[in-house]
Amino acid sequence: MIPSSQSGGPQRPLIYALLALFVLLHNDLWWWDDATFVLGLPIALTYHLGYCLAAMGWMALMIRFAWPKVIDHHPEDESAVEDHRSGGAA
Amino acid sequence: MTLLILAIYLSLVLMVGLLSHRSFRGTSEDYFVATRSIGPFVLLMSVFGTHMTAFSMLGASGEAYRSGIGVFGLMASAAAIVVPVMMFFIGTRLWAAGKRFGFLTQAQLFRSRWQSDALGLLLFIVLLALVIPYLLIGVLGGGFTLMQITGGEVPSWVGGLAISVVVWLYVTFGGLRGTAWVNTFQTLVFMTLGAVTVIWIVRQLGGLEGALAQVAAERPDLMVRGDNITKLRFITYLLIPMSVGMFPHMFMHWLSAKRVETFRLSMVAYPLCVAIVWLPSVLLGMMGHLSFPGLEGPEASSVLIRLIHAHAPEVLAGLLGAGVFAAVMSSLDSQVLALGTMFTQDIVKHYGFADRMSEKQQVLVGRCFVAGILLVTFLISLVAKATIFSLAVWSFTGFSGLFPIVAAALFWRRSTKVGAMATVLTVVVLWLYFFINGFNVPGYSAFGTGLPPVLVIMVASSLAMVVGSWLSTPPPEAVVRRFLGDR
Repeated sequence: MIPSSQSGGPQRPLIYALLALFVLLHNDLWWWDDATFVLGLPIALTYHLGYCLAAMGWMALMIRFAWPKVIDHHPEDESAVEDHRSGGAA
Repeated sequence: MTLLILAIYLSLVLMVGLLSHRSFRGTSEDYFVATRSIGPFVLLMSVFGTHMTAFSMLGASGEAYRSGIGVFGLMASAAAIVVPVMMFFIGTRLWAAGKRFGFLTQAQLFRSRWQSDALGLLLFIVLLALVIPYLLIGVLGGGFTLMQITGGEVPSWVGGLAISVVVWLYVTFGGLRGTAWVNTFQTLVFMTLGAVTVIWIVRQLGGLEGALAQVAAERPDLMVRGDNITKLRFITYLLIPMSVGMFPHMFMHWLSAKRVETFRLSMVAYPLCVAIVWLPSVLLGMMGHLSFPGLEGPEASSVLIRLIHAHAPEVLAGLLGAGVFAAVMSSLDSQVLALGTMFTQDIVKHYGFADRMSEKQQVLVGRCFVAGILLVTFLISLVAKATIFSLAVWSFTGFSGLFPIVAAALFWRRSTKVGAMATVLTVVVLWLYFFINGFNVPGYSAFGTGLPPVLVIMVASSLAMVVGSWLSTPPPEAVVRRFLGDR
């Protein structure tokens, strides 16, 4: 079986909702025409550089709290591989 | 001297690729997915190196030259979140399905998931057609690099031919293991030399603060997104990196992971790697105006190489040119190997030709197909006149349009082969229409609405999947259960 999104802890829906919010934060339209320099770079460039670093932390959180569970062995595994490799549909 | 350094570099790459041949086990599974034995670091380097092509160095700097800082948010930080999320939701599941059912290609997975031979064949053709522009980016990038770095002494076709031959050799002998090893080596090379490039050239231009202040004085429009990029385009470009979910070469690298946990390092470190490569490219692209104002069209893609040629000593220029070669080849190799795998598995093996072939002969067929594809791409590169950025975006647009297929296969039990076929055909029709009408039109929007083609194609292909599936007979529950488990 392919890892299911339904497995895992109760915090999973919250993590997914926050993920959607994090992705929306990519759209920093609020300083579209602002040429102020922050940390030596134009502000929008600094923001998106920070966004990349925040994405690292975000992914670490996803892995910690919402990692998909994989069933390592399935009763039908071996026959499925055989079915596929013999050229037919699995 | 520059040519000598590049020749030494290409020899080193070949050596790494050929060394991997010692570990070759002689089976097609080992040749095509390294017997699913790749560890976390090599997976990160090979996935990242594969995704970052001439597009991320030459294309990004060229586009930053034209449009300024907005390019970083448009492509880099968008990829920094979307690609790891794709690995999290899609990559892990594809890996699990590949391991369980023994899949080596996407067509095998989708054919089995929806019990449709026709779908497998259609996908093979469409994926092959969409990878060609992506391959062109690499061959064109290699040609640009060699021509510019030698001050025009060596024609561009020589560079394209050189990287095609080297890639063909190490893919032929090393298979996926060779490709992964070489990618790891090359990704480290282009990340390191990219950093050296920016430090060296920025110093030559008067330091970061001074150089950016000069650019701001001469081209203030490049310091903001302003009118260079529309807000709608910026928002919808988040859809572009979703193309990784359907890249054949990414699929192949994902399948090569040893365990599902192997993905974790790639997910966390990918955004950092993106920033390390794209920030220098974008900064140098803008600074190109200080030395080379007025570059137009495909010429702008060579701004990075022009800077290297103008501001770096010859030895360093050779090394930095090798860095660009590294970025180019680390993508080209995986793409051609993926196509070789697809041809062997989806056509030769699936349609029964393999019954008359040994494992060795199947690998040979894959190798011949790789050579043929590289030759065709090289020939097209001799006549192609396009910017690397636009070639990449059109290719990514097509793959993003196909994303509903992988999403439905993995998450939607009610999805059917009719829905999947409708999705593919919708993408083909719309992509061809937009490509024919918009390829040479800067800022082209779908039907003049202001909407980028990628948004229209994704909405239409998603609708095609939903409507096609609802109007057709539900798939057999037993098949769905095997793929997705019990409800």
